[in-house]
This record gives sequence, C-alpha cells and structure tokens, in this order.
Amino acid sequence: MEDIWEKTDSSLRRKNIPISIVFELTRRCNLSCIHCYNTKDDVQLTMRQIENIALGLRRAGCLFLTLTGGEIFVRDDCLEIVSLLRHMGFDIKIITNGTMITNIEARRLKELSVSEIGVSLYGVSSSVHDRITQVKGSFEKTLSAIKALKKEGIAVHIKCTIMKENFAEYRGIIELSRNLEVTYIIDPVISPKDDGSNSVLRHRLDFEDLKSFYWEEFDSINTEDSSQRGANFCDAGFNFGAISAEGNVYPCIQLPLKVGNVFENDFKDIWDNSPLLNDIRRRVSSGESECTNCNLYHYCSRCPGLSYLENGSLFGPSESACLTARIYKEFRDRKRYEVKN
Amino acid sequence: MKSQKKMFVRSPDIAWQNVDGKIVVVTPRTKKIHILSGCAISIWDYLEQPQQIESIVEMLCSEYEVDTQQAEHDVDNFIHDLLSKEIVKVYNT
Repeated sequence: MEDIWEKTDSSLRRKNIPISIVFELTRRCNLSCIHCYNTKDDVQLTMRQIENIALGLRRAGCLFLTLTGGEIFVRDDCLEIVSLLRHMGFDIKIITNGTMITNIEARRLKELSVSEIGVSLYGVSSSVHDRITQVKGSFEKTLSAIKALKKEGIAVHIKCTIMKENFAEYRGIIELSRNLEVTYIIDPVISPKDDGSNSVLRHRLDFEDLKSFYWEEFDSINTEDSSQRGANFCDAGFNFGAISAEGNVYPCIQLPLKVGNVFENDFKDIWDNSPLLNDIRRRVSSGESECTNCNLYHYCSRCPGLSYLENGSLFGPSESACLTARIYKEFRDRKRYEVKN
Repeated sequence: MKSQKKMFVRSPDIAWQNVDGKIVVVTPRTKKIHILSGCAISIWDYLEQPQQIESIVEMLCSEYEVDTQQAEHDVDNFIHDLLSKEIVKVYNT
C-alpha cells in the first residue's frame, strides 16, 4: 500500500487524525499459542457495539482498520462485520490464524475487497507449528487458508513470531513464502502477557540466535539507510491507535495504556481530549526521551509499548530494544571494518 | 459525447475518508492512494448516486461560475481518469 503521508502535505500528519486503528473484535481464540499475551479469552464485542464504535471512528477520520483478536473468525458474524465495515468506507486488513478460512470465506473476503490478510504461521512442519499453537491439525488448516486466499488474489502476508521453539524453521518460512508468492514478516518480539506476567518471555530467542537472525536480516536490506532509526516515538497516539474488545482506547495495541473507553465517551472526544494522550503528545513533541545520551541511540528502533510493558516507562529503554540496537551497532561496525579492509 | 449517456457511480471496491477536508480514496486492488480536493470533492459527493456526465456538469455549473462547454470537457476527462484508476465504475441497472 502506498504511504498516505507521502500523498498528503506534511501538516496533516501533525493534526493527530486517527487514520489507522487496530480494532480487536474478540478475545476468543481457537488456538492456545504458547507465546500469546492474551489472558482474557471470554471478552467479545456485540455487532451493535461494533457498528457504533465504527461510526465513531468514521467521524474521527479513521480510514484504515485492522481487525484482530483473539481470532476473529471464531465469530459466526465475522464476514457480516467485515461487510458492514467495508460498506462504511473503511479499508480493511485482517490478522488471523487462518484455521477457519476455507475456499468459501476466501471468496467472500475477495468480494468484499479486503486489502490484506496477515496469517500467523510458526513453522513449515506441523510438528513445530502445532506444538506452538497447541492444537493438532492447525498447521494444515492455516496452510490451506493461505493457499485459498492466494488463489482468490488476496494480498497475504505470513506473520511468524520466531522463538526458541521454531528458530530452526525461519529460513523455511521465507522459502515457503517465496514459493507461495506471498510476503512475510518474521518478528522475534514477544510481549509480556496483558496481566503483566513475564512468563511468556522465556520463549524469546537467546542472544546468539537473535544476533544470527538480525545479521541475516540486516544483510538482506539496505543497511546504509538508518534514517528510520533513532530511539524516537512512533505514530502511536498521533495517527495510530487501538480499541480493545472491552472498548478501551489505547495509543497502540502494543501499548496498553488506557486513554478512555468508547462505552463511556465518543471515540473522537477521547482521541481529541484525553489528558493522558495529550500529555504523551506534548512530551513527545518536546523531544522527551531517556535515551538521548545513549551511545546506541542512532542504532535503536525502540517500541514505546515494549518499553512501557517491560519497565513501565514510555520514554525509557526496553531490554529487547537495547539488545537489538546493540546487535545492529555490532553489525554496522563489522560492515565498516570490512569496507576499510 | 458517447460517455454522456452512461451513468457513473463510486466503485464499491474502494475505501475512502474525508481527511481534513480532502477525500482520500484507497483502491485495494492496486494498493494506491488518491487525493481529491477542490471541485473534485463536489463531484465525489454527487457520485454517491449514479450520475450521467450531463447531470454532473449541471451540478458544477450551478455551484461554480464555469463555462458549460469547458465543464463538459473537464468532467468527461475527470470521470475517465477516475474510471482508469478504478475509483468509479459504469453503473449497470
């Protein structure tokens, strides 16, 4: 997708229009992934609530909606919701595990002009994938869904969280993606659980594996361009936000700092007037950061959500970001050394 | 003009939003973003319902001080541009 900010004048970006929202329709899921942050698997919005929230989002200026869960296809009315939101004018992306998408759902999603579907796949064999999802047969179903969506001409990307349990398969995921002619996102980030527990962090890659993964990734992209790096704040709370299945509004789904609830106030009112959100914007605009003197600053792509989850500070360091920045610096130093010699 | 007899309407495949007074249109198949501003927004509003070029020209001439012949030419070009970008489609009853 083209970048909306490249198509519009730069002043628009500073107007805090919530152009892109992640919308969690349900917390229910038919899988039980070992690294998942979700602990509230019984919460779900009703169709009427979704419609009302969506009307509020339209009024606030939202264009891009990413539907997520839980697993949204556990809802019998999932396609009805997608149809409703498309008719309201939203661009729809979906994040799913794919296990409930057959040829029938794929065809309907094509008819509804869904712009992109991200499908979670954790390996290239059922033994690895199913061990992570803890549901036997899920690999075959997910793979079938990817093929069915691709056959309909829908843009698909494979989303793979790499962890200790599937590290050996990530190159296989890349190869599979190429064979299926879909894109892929391989991400080693595992967030703490939404109840604050760090129990899932034991699945994170060890330093050497993380380094090996990143070096390979850095090598495959234009590593000279580090303009996107710097321990800055992202668009969360500015042009990007999230609504949970409880109706809570967050600056990002990865940043569970509640700034309001759509059952208590209109979304636009929350977005424009939340004291917490305005405080974050003010602090970001004034350049607040605990990392400015860090020697890894220019090698860092810090996620404020992870910093908040890991150490309770939006503007401070996070263990995972520091580690990644360290790896990136080592990589850049090595590259510079190779050029010199 | 041949296209004056046809009716045109917004494509059901697009996504769109009024962002700070401009219409941002997304065409999911091509993954392109288009920006409409000025009198294009009046035409966009009008195309919520199927319209002939003739009626769009009439609407424009009533809203703006514009020569009818010039408006016909401009609207015809504009609608064909929107057609090529898959933002509108020919309406079939």
